[in-house]
Amino acid sequence: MRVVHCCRSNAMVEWADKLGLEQFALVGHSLGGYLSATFALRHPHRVSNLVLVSPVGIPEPHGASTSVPLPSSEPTDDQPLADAAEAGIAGIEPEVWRQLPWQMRMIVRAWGFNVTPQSIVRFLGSYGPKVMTRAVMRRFSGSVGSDEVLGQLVADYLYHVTASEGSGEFAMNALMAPRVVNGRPGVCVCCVAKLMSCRANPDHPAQVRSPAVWIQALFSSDASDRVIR
Amino acid sequence: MPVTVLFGDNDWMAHPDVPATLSGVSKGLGLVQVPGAGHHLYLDNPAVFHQTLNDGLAIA
Repeated sequence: MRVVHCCRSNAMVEWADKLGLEQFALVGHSLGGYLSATFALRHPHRVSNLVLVSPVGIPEPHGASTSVPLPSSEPTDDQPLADAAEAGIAGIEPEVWRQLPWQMRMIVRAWGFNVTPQSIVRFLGSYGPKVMTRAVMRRFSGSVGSDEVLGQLVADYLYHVTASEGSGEFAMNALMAPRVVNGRPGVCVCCVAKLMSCRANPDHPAQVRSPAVWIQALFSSDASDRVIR
Repeated sequence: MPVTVLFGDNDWMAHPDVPATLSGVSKGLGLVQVPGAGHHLYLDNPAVFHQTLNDGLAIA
């Protein structure tokens, strides 16, 4: 599994050793939140404070997704996409799936093929910077987007980190699953860890050993007694 | 190890069940919802984000 290699890397330990950091505060955003939590679990003595900013990997409560079929990270012949549509794509109930706007279905399908937002920006080629600038100005119109110079700086930064050669982004598909959340106007696809369905599925012991279980261990009471002093 | 978890109040990463999942897990864990913010809390609401971050780092 890609994720195992990505999260078992000792690059961060080597980096901290080189800087002479024995113990340090660790702040992680998004996928970095997941990586920070897994790091803190493996090396609790190195982390003084852990701050997870909108992190990936917080699972659903117990039992919430036990009936969800485990999405396969590698599509196989015995699980063609058509069957998946019948059973509910990526754990989305068939009746909810049918009500999704086509744009949303396209996003979920693309997600299934591990098409990352970053790869779409790369695909845009020379149009990429312009599209990114427009997106940043609109998304952050209430903050940095209201300042043209600052907004452009943020857009340039985001474009370059997005368009550069991918690495960790390809782990997203294995860590997150699309989910439809009602309760506000329209429908949104929300990402939660696949963790609970992995743990609930005894047919996939390999998945249970995935580092995805570490964050569950972090937030489960018995392990937090061990980690959180 | 003090753990602080932040989400925006309009955050696509925040599943509605996150508070239920994290509640009562540990007294060392603080969950903070940042108002007027999505997934990019630090840009959407820098003031509350920085305050919460500083608080989370200051816990001894």
